[in-house]
Amino acid sequence: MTPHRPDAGLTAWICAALLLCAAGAGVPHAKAQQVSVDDAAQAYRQIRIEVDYAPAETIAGFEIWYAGQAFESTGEAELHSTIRVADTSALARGPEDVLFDRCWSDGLPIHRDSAGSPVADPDASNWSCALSGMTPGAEQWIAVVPVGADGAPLVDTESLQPVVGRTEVPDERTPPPDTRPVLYALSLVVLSTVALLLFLRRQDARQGRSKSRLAHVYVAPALIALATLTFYPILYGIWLAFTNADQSRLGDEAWIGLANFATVFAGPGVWRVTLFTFVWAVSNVLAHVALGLALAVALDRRGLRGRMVYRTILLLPWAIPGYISVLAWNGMLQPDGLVNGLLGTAIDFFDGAGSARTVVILVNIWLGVPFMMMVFSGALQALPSSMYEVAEIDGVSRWNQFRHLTLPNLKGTLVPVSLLGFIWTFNSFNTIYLLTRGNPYSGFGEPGATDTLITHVFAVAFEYGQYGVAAAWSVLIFLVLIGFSWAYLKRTRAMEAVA
Amino acid sequence: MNGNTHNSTDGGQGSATLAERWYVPVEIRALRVWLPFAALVNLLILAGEALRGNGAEQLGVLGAIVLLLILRASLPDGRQRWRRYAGQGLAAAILVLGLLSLLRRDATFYDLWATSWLFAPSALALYWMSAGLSGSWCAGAQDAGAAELGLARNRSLAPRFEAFALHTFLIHAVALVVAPVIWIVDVSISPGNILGGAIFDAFTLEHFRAVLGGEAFWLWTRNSLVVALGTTLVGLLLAIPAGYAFSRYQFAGRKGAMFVFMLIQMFPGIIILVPYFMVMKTLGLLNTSLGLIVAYSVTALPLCVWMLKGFFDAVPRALEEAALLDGCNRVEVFFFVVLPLSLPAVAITALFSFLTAWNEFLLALVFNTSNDAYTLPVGLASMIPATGQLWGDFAAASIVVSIPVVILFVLFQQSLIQGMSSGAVKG
Amino acid sequence: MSDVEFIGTTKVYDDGTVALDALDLTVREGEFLVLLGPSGCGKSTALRLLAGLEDITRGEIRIGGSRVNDLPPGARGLGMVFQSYALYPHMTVRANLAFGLRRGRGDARVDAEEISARVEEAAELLDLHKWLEKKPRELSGGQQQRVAIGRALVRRPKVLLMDEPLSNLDAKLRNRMRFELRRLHEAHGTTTLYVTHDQVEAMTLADRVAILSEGRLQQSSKPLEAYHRPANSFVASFLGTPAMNLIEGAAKGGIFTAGELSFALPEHLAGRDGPGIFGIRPEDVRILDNGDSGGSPGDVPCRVGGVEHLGSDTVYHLEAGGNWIRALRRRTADQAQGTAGGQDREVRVSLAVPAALIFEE
Repeated sequence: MTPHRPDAGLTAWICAALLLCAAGAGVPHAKAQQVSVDDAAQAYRQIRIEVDYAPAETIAGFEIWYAGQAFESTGEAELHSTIRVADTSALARGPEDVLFDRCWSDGLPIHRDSAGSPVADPDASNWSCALSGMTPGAEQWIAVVPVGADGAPLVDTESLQPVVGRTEVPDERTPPPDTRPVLYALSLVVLSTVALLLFLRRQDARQGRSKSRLAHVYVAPALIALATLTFYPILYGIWLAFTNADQSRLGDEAWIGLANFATVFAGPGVWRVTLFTFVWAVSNVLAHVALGLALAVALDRRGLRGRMVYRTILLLPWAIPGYISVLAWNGMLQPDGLVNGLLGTAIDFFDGAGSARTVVILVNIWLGVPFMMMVFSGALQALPSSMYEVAEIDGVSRWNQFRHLTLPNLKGTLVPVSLLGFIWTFNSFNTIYLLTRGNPYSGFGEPGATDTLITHVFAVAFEYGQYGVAAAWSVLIFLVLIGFSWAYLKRTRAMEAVA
Repeated sequence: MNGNTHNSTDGGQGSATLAERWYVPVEIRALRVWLPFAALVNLLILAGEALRGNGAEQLGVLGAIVLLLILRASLPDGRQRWRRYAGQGLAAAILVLGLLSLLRRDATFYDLWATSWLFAPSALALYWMSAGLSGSWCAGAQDAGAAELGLARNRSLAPRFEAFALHTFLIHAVALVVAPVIWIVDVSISPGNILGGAIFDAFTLEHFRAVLGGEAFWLWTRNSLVVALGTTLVGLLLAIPAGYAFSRYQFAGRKGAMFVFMLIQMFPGIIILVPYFMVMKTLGLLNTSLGLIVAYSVTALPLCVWMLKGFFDAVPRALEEAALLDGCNRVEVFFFVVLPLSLPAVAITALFSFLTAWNEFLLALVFNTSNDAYTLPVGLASMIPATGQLWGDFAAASIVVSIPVVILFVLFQQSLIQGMSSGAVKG
Repeated sequence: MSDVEFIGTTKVYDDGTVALDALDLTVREGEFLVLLGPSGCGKSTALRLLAGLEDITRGEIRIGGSRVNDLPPGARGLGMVFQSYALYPHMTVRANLAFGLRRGRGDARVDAEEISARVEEAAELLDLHKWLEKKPRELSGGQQQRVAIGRALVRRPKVLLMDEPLSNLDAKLRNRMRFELRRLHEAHGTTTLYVTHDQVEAMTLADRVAILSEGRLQQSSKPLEAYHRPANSFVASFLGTPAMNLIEGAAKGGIFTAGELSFALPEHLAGRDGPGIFGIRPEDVRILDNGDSGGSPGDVPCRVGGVEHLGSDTVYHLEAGGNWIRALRRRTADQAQGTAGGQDREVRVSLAVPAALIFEE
């Protein structure tokens, strides 16, 4: 590090020189903008730039371009980020340390729109950004290009004069994490599984069941895999729930008791997100079952023409990879998307809490109906047609046939499949993540309007980096799900199937 | 109406024949069921109008719903003449409402569809109540002969009416299902990244060229293939012996183990995601195919074991016993008899774990932070970030990725559904 | 020596059911022994224990004098025909026959030439030539049955086991196969253990029958001996259709009393004393013609409660002092019509016949 010191000074000097040049070169453009690098604010892989400019109505935003060498044209550089200029009166100032590109205006965190992108006020004359992703110890050339409302640059993008900055905060090559504890733990899990199997085997031997001698050997690989990759993480997760683990503390977390659980329960929106999770799961399952059953009954009608065609088409939402369908709906529901086109409107469905919630539920309903339809189709085909013929002779109406013959006979399928569907929907992640990411945003650390427990835990862990809190959430969800699964297994008498 | 008197056993009030008492024209029967449905659909349309914030229109639809319900309640019964007039009046009123709403604006496709749910029921009701056999029945001018004739006519027409209703229902379902598909195809062949606009108004292969010509797509495909094939292989190697043991042996701990397998299947990945991530990170398995293979084979394991157990259960025990007597040992019995016989089932299980790994998103998202390690789901989703959304390229890539998967799903639908709900439908 | 010995062989299942209770039984070399009994009596268990498909809980099994308890099934030198035939559905008939020879180990190892020779031989014996290249599912039940037998024989087993092999065939085919099985046994002389619940099969096939009930051996003897001299009332009632009449009562001074019924015992039973079960086969019950009034002290007055005409035979259900007695009368050439016919007629029957038996309770 020490050898680099002089360079830093040199860089600062060069920067200053370049800044003067930039200022000089800026003369042709009336009301020049001035970009400077704030060396005092060096941070890990971040270079902080400050931009002073004269506000103008023509400016609709700024593009920040950067490259590892000097450049004059944007063609030789990469677009780092953009900052929009718009009315900020309805927007909140964003959190300072969640997002990668921290920006400020007037010394305060910059305004953020609903998507989290930075927005500068039209009246402002400066902003600053800590640009992330900069290689430590290497010079970076940075240029800021104001753009107009049509996205066209307001300056000549072929003769840019970038500023040079560098961050000296060393690339903190954290020493390769100590793998020993994990390896010890894993071997312990493997050994205890093997010990358990050996014990069970001895029990068998004592009871003289020599035929099943090999059984434990057969089960061993699967069981060991499950133990190391499921039981162990669950136990580790429970431990994490009582520690202060977060993004920066990995492997050296410390016991903090029930503090994480306190955070969970004291946090805003705990009950809201729980309630929405249940609304989400119940409404989905009800719709899946009702529509799936309706379609199955419709397709089951004798003499229906084109049954196979209908069936195959109606299967599509199940057959198309889920993430693709969800992203497609995302596009269709955009203000300029197909749905608005058909309605002749330009509604942002993802904007309001109510409409965003409705939309995520509707899209998930779309995804889940075919599976139920197929299950019920199979069950309907198994019903004896003579039953309906007898009912016909007895003069039972169609509706009553459905109500008193079909439904009771489907109960054996209906109840377990609904419970399974409930658990699946409860656990589902993709639909919400890919449609809204839990947005509309409700505040830092708070579940968004469309967050379920599952997506919220994801956000807590991987967006906020609070592993300990996320683990506490996970433990709570785990307990809830044990309850459901128990009910499900009881209900389906799965254990009888085991015997 | 009471021209026939030969049915004297019916007593005083039995002046009508059996046919007369039973006969209601199929058209009127259909209206009894269809009108409430039309009201229901209009309720949905009302919700749509609420979205558009179109006050007058909302009022119109609301009025139509009320009228439809009143019409349903006052449908002719073949005796009271006033019902016919009331019905005709109501139907005409709804027709006018539909006409008004159509005239008031330049209609989009959606508007046409919405209004058709006013037009169609009211026009049909009006026509059926006024003309033909049903019309004269509504007017109460019907004798026994006509009733006999009508019953025969009902018999031949009823299936057609039912088929019409069924197809209407199914076509609506199909429209909802194919809309995103059509949209994706349209976006993929439209220049630029336009989300709305007319369907199939332009054609370009630029997006397909961009996707198939770029490196990223093939890299993601390669990653996905490695991961999915690896998962299938590892998963089967683990699941086959376990499934066989569960199916064939009685051993200490069997029930407990099977219960655990069932239970684990119900837990969301998210609850072990954090510890998983930390273990993977510590072991340096992030951004590697191996990490995902390991994770996927274990997550799919319980269901695969259950599926295979079910399949092995179907192989008769006597076959294995015969092979034992023929001099095979247990392992040979498995390889020479059980495995060949359950090969189709093993293939289905393999397909299942392959597709699970191919489509998985959450773990791939968390474990892969580098663009080079993305699998297709994460890669495709990364085309649609908050800014700079490449909808056209995404759509083209989606089509390329989906087609083989959809074909596999459609071909093996029955077995896959059975597998996915295995355990669920038992008991 | 390839005789089979069960020595105190016991099987107790995990749930505690005793399927086989200390079976002592020897099958002599070359013998065709039928294990007979109702379902659940333990006869299949005995076979499966011998085959090595189940673990023996107590006792032992010897084949040719050596203990086989812990030998794997394939090493015991057995051939088995399963009730469901258990043909390998994915192999042709030829492969089915050859599979056991290919998998043989040690002294059971056979070279390729020998394999094809033996398959040919089995095909010859069982008339399977036409089917050799077909898959089992293309064959009829009878043909599959032949393949199953061929597969068991082709290994030249020391002992041949058959588990209800004819029960899946229709009546006509069953009769033919029964005959053929007997012929095969006479030709080969392989020691055979045959499990069935069908007494006709047992009577016609067996050199000796072993009758089991509730896991215990009831009697093992020549079939006719078991029929005529059943060891106990179970064997007596199990063998024969219609079943033997069994009247519970007590004998004293040459008179047997059961409720209101009492009659003189035949000479060979006159010495018996104390409670017992009087047994007489329906065909041994003599219905006395009306002319023989008076009669002997063994005669019993009865009322005809019902008559079943079976064609060649006629079964009378007679009521005598609260007991029901079945009597069977064979149609003979000179007696075209039964004489006792007619519901509610009063007749007399004679029970004091030499074939009558008394069982201890």
